[in-house]
Amino acid sequence: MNRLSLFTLLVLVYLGLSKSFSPSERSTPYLVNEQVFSSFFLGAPLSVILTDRLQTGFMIKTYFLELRLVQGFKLPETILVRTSKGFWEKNKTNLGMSLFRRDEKDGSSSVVAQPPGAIFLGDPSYGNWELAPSGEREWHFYNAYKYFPDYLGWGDYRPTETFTRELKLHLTNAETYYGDQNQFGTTGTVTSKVFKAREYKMIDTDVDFKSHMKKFFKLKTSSSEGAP
Amino acid sequence: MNELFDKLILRIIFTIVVCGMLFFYKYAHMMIHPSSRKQIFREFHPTKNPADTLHFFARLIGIGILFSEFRFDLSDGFFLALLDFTLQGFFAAGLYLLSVYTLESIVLYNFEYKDEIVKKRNMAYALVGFTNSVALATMLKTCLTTGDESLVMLFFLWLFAMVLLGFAYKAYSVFSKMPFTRLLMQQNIGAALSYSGYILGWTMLINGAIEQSLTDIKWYSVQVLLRLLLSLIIFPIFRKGIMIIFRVDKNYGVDKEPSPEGSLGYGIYEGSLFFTSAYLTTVITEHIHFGTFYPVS
Repeated sequence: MNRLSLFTLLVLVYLGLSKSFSPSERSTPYLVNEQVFSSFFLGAPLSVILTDRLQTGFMIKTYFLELRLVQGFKLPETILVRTSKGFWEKNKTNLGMSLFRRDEKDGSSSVVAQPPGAIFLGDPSYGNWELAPSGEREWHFYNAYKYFPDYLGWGDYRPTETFTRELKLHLTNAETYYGDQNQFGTTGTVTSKVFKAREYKMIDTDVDFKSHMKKFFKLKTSSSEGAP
Repeated sequence: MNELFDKLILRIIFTIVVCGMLFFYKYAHMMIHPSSRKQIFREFHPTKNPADTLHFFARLIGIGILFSEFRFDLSDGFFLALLDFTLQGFFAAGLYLLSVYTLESIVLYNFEYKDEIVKKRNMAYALVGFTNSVALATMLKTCLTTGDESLVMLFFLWLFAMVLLGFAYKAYSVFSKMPFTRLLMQQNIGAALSYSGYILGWTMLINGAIEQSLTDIKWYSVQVLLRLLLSLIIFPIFRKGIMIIFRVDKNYGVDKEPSPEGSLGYGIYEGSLFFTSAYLTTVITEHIHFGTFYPVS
């Protein structure tokens, strides 16, 4: 029994020390859910966009969200946060969506997942409506904000007035909106195109078993290594 | 061709320099171990006393292991390479002898070299001395690698490693069921083998813990400590696992002391068990490469 207690103590000390000095624990903040966004993210105007989500670990998983912070007068910043399983699962369909936004005029904020850039749309300080060949009016940023479509993950897509109207309505009703033609979100047409190359790959699903096994049958010859 | 000859001459000169260091070692050995003054200056007869031969040549093997770590860098010229080697060599040899003296003072505190080796020809005692010499040499060699030419770092690493080895020795009685001191007095090789397996195993674990890149002392200390703690967690699991898998009767003389043969067998078993467990522990503590399994670190 004494030995078992000592062993348990050793395991606890090891875990405690590892936790205290683990770089990921220190560098990656933990945001349990959307309720803490308001106190964690400062400044306005601000749009926090979900650019990737990943889980690591074998039996005990750690859940991460990669977020892009798009602010009015700063370069966008990408951060990685740890989160709860519940919140991670909740955002399964929200890739490319804005999870949090704060308006600079009244300082009001919202945590309902919406297409990115909702706070900039229709604001004459950032852009204007231009008539598109389709006959609809599309939102275009001024030259000073010409990189905003890239920052927001729009690609070549430009929101129309209909899209913006519906977006604002959903925002008022605190409902998630994926676009009038399902442009945003994990399965959205725009998001799928923009976020095709994701930085973090799901290891379990990306393994090519056949090429992995090849290393066991490899012959090292001068031709395979190049000229001596 | 000229260059080839020149290189060969340099190699021969360095061989002589290393022999010169061994000559210094002989005198340093006498200073730290005055009791072996006669032994080291007389002509040595290996056939007379095998225990003495093992004890004496263990130190030589140790210094050989230690010196194998040295490098001659001729980029800055011959004399600077020689100076570097001499400085490091003197310092390391001094530390090695001091380590052997310290560890033997702890482990064999109630034994006298003259009584055990010269009079009794105690092979168990000689084997313990052999193990200590080899273990300390490998440990100091690792300190030399990690210290990366800095004598100050080498000193502190050596001190740290010595403390760890001291703790490991103190924990020996927790892991072993054999009455080490009593059996050593009885010249029982089994006790020496058990001790050898344990100390060599733990030296391997300590070496594994201290052999990490030393860029920041604080960070390095934490990493060493964590790896040692991990070793302390994994080592007993392997030990227990081997005992269960191979259904070994772990009882060492339930009612009475086993016969010398019995003790020898148990000593072999314990030594092998400790050594194998330590070896396997290094697989878990050092050879698991997580790669991108945890992409965030």
